[in-house]
Amino acid sequence: MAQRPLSEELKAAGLRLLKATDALDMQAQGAMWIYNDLRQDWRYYLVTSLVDTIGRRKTYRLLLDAFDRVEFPNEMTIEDVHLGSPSDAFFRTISSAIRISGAENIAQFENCIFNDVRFDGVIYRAVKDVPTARQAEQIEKRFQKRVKDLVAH
Amino acid sequence: MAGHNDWWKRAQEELEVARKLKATGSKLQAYHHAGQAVEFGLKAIYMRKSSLSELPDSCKGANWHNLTFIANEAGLRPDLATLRANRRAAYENWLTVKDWDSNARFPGSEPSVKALNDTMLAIVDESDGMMRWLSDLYQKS
Repeated sequence: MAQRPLSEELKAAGLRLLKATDALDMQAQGAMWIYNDLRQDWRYYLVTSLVDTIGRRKTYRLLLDAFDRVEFPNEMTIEDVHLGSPSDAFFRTISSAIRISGAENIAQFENCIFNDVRFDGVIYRAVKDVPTARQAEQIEKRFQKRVKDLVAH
Repeated sequence: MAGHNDWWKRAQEELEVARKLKATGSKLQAYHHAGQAVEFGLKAIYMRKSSLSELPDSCKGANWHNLTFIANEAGLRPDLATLRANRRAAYENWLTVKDWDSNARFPGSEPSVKALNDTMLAIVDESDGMMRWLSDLYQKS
């Protein structure tokens, strides 16, 4: 179990951040706080096919533009966000075991073992199906357009 | 005894290895060595700023492969804030590089080609890459 439990504020902020990215049509396949017993810290993962299409750098650029203009949780900064790919081994394991597709429910687990490392987690979304190339392309176009429109106004 | 200058020298060597591996198409190995270049560079700055003659054993746990953690320990929060305010492209590179995963070298954990290329570029870019930024910080520290 995590030496330092995730605060209720950060738990709520993680859900609000996911909803903010949903409003931008980012369509994240996963969002969660994970506590790694070796690292001894909580890390917020936002899992998106954008990492594999437009890349992590451009995705952060768009998120930065959005963070500058829309209301994101005060409790978190962009540096708390760690982008992941739907094909990451850790995410594939989690999304195989837990399926949460909305943005209202939260699943929590403690003392799970993955590759001999103990984890705790607060999961807002874990969708197993990796988007097809065509779906990923549509996600990319919609997200870029929403941020571009946001910056223009 | 390995001082901060030894760690910085090794960081530069790792970067050179990463560049050579990338040129031969060994992207995964290049990704690993490029990330290690940043890790060692951050540790060199940490040691120099903390006046440490060598890296203590207490600095060898899992956290010390976590680039955000090392940057915080090295007191780089103000420098990152400055980067965000004044050099947007370099800050985007930091956000990209902080997600580097030292475990990605293991079979079954390989990032996508796009992710590998992105991280490499964020580290080695001549003007806004993280090694360039760390080099400036190291000289000043």
